[in-house]
Amino acid sequence: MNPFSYIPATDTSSAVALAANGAKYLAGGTNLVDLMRQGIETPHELVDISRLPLADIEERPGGGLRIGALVRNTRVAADERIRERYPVLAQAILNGASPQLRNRATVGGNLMQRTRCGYFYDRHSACGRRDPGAGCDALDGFNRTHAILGTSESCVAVHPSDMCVALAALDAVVDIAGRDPVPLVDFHRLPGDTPHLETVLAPGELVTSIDLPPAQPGRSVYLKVRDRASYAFALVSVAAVVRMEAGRATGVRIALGGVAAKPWRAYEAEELLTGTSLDDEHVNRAAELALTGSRPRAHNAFKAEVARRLIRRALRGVRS
Amino acid sequence: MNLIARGFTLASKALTRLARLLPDGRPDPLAHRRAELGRPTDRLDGRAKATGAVRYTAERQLPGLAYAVVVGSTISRGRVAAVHVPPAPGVLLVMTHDNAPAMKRTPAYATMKGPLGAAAMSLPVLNTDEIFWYGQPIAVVVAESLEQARYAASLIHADYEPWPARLSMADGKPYTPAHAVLEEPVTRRGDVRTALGAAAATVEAEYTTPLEHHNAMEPHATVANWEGDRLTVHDTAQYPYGVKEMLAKKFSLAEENVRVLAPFIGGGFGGKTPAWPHVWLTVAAAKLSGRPVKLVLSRADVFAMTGGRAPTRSRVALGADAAGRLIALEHDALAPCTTDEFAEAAVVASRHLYACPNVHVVQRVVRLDRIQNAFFRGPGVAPGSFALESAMDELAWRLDLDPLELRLRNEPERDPMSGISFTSRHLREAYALGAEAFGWSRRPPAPRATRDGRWLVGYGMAAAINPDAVLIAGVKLRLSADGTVTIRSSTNELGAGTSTAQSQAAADRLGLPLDRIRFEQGDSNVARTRIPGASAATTTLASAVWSARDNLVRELLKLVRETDSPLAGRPFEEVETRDGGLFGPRGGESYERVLARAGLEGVEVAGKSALPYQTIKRGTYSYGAHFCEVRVDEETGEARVTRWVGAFDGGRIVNPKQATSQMRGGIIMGIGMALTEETLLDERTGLIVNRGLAEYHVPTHADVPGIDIHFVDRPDPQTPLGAKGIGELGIVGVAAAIANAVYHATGERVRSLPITPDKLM
Amino acid sequence: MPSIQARLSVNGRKHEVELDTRVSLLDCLREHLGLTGTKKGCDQGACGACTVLLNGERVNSCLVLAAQCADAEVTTIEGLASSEVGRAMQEAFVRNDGLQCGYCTPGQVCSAVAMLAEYEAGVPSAVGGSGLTDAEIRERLAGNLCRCGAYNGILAAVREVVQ
Repeated sequence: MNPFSYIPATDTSSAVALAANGAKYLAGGTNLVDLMRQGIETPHELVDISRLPLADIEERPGGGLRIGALVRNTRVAADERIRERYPVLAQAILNGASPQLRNRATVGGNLMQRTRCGYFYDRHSACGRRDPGAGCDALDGFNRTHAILGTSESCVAVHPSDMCVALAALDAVVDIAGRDPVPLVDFHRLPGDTPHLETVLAPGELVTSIDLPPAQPGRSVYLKVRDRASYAFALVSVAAVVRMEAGRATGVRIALGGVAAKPWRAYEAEELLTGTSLDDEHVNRAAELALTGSRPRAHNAFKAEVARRLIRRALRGVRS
Repeated sequence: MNLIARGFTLASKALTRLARLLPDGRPDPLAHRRAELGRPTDRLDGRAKATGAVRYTAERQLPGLAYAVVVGSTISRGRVAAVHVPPAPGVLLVMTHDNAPAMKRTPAYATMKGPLGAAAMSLPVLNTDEIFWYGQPIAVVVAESLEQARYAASLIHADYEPWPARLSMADGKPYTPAHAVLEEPVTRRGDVRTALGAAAATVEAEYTTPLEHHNAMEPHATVANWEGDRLTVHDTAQYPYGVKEMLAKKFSLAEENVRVLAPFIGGGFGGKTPAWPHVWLTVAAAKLSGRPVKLVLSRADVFAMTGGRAPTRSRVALGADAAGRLIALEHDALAPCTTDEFAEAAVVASRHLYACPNVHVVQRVVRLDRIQNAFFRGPGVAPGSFALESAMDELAWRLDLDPLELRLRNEPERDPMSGISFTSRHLREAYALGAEAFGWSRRPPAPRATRDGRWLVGYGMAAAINPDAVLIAGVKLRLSADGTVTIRSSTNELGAGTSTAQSQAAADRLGLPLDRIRFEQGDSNVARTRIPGASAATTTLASAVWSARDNLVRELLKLVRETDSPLAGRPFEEVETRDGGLFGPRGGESYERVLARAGLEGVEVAGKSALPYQTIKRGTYSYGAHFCEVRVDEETGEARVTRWVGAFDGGRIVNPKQATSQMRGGIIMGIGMALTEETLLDERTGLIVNRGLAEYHVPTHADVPGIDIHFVDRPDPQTPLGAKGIGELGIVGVAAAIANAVYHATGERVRSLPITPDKLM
Repeated sequence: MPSIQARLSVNGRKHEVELDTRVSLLDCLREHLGLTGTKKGCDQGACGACTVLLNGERVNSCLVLAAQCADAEVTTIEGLASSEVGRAMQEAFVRNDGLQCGYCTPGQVCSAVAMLAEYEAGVPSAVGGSGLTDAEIRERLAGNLCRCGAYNGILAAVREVVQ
């Protein structure tokens, strides 16, 4: 870890001003401190925003909720309003990390998590995320846990968050200080030729809150497949939200985790299912459609099939 | 087979023949007469551990202590052309091959050159510019603080001249090692191929297990302090006496000037049995910097700078007649090694578990440019038994026979390899105990026949075997005037509960209540003690304490000679130690009385373990039977273990509470081995890609069901306390039992560990 | 070298120390305050051995900078014995053999005590359902690895304290 100066922020605007001059935001630290210790992040100045007044969950006019960027993950999952109106979000959070990490990690930090790719974490491996243009040692290395959708020849890393998968399915919006809000599905970027650009944030920009639109009546589910029973990142996960009206599905939203550098919305599958009874035939076709663009590497072809099966299971779950 | 291998095999056969002339063991009265022994006593150090009061190696604070961090190579083979050391604050020393003091080469442990040596490898790390594996230390940074040392280390980079590296088992030419951890590398009897041709049912398949790491929760740590030419080292050593000898040689010191302290170890499992290079490099860095130095490996360093369990590839062929009796057994096992020829003995179970007239068992190795492998709980036998016990299950299905019944029909009366008798073998009883507790006979017979919601449910079983060893230990025993006894040893407490078990044994040996015994450990200077592992601490130390007890009796009889004591003039053989003192046919008296009359504060005697002739003359193994229920999500391929019964023959059980925990621990490690654990070594470079606990998946609370443990609990007539080693036994056979249950659940046979969801898709 | 004046209260005792900004709460406890009961297993939030209570909540102290603990109240294994449930948990771990080598034990004990408080406070888990079942306890303690495999004993210890 390189030497850095530590500045506790007193208000948002001064924090943003510091960050504009190269300081890095520190909140829960559950990812950043580790990355600094590994020499992956090397900020010379940390601005500690964890005591800024961005730690509330508030009602929004019209029925949605605004979750401050500094609300701890545990608090989101335990909030009665979230559990009642957005249970898929609580489920996703509780299926990630450990209680200790959830107690510390913030919502904003969860969004900003960086990939767990072993080559990204090794300073001596080729990684375009760390080192623009350096290539990608995961392409022909161990890539069992890597992406199958939205990949490029520059990067096949996945975004590790569970929470973001649920947020994507909930059409959440990311509020950023000093600019227009960005839909969560547009917040993270696919690697393309610029895998080092992971989100739409410009350097120094600060996520201040996440807005959840008014909850739909209906059902939702979060399913996750992982290598051990708990405390492991997703191999594949799915968040599904559906409202059945007179036996017909509306507001179908399906997001996949563990398959791409961002939470992956299956728009075509959603469209196909809209207006159907979520009968097996449509569900099967939707599951196929969701993975049509998948491009597996040597060790992760199974992910597409797991994802299809999880989608089918999720939809069987929400239709009944 | 090469010449050395042939020589070893001939010598071992000759030894087996000669061993018949050896004396039998001295039956231990404590095998039957017990008060504290056999009690489920709470760990005596439990409170200190649960309150955080125990000090582990990295927690030693010394005045002037400096912090060290190691920098590892980023190539697997070649030489270091230059090490670049940018300036950084707080740095006291950067030690590279250019300035490191000369350290004598010491032979690697468990090899022909250094069977008792503690060095993990014989390579001259930091005394050469040559690189032998990815992660080999190329520099040690010493700084005033941990943060400074870490930062300075992160700035160091090297230029290399890379050479081609052999990293895959396919890269080398397999050959037969001299020995496979004291097992003959090749055994051939009868004609396996012909027997296979004549068999009613056969199985021929290849099974693989991956590289794995011990990942004890405590990372390896060394604190070295020089005072003139005297060296004190706190180390996470499972073998402190060996480390002392090794360091004395490396730094040309008199052995009495080197002291290694390791009372409490935060888990070892074999990973701390040998001293990895960082141990002597810390000592060298302390010497060069003139400061006491502490080095704690990071978790990533643990993966790169300490060895793991070698990957194995086993080809197994079994043939049985129509009655389910084995007529052919072939096991061809391959594992990697380094220039230090330490071979994972994956063939142990195949050599000793089943009776079979036609046998061909061979252990081969391939030399790779890797860090040396380490002993790892059930070395060889754990991965090898995955192959054998999976194959037995496959054979049972082909014969349409209950896999338990198949095993019972092939239970040998004598050791299948040497023909010598067993000191004790109660595997049949273990099978019966386990099967009854599990309800094995009530399992649905067909595969893929039981469903519970999204889960397919299956049941599996497997046998366990582990060689029992009584090694070498000395103890010092001091009887004080107040009637308390302190026993000191050079072993350590790494979770097995050694001090509690030995206190119980010593209490019964001396006829004292448990609270009069104190058992202290972890100081290399107490006595020559060679128990680097091998589940041997309980019996070996008990033997040494037994000898110390005899010496104490002799000393005390000297003190009462020509006194009014009822013991005066009694011969040693007549005297018993019981009820707080010595008793002969004309009565006795308390220890306090003897010392008081002599006006002594205390008496100190030494004890040495007896040579274990009896276990050389006969075969001594511990045994077990695993029964488990596994659930597999049919759609996602996730497998979860939901029920476990283990039944074991470990001789007499010293402390059932601790022993139960130890068996559970082995089984849980086996669950990890079966389902989740795999070190991913990138064979393009040698980099370990998942070098952390977030990506190397050891089982969590949520992965572990209730585990029901049973013991046959019958004494071995030839061993101290009637006990046999159980520390490693628990893991053996676990992976096969799970794979067998997965087959029963799904109809899918997975022959390559770990059984991750992708393999069941 | 940038430093900070860390003011924190540990087990009810106030400390003020000048530290390198890089010092984690874990290293602050172990290397600077002499409180070595809290353990370092991975230094990256992947094992739980460093679990302490920070303002009453369990966290991985390896991922918290000491600088972030200004005016915080930290409870470590050394301070846990002053609470009734802490002491009861420590004793239950010993009785139920919920430990072997002891290295993960302080983290397990701290985590178990905090887990019960979280459960009381209505913090949910991924298991859900009703009551503090074995599955609930296992899931809620899954952030504490034990390589010796004392999990059965730890579960029994927690059960005993709950009753």
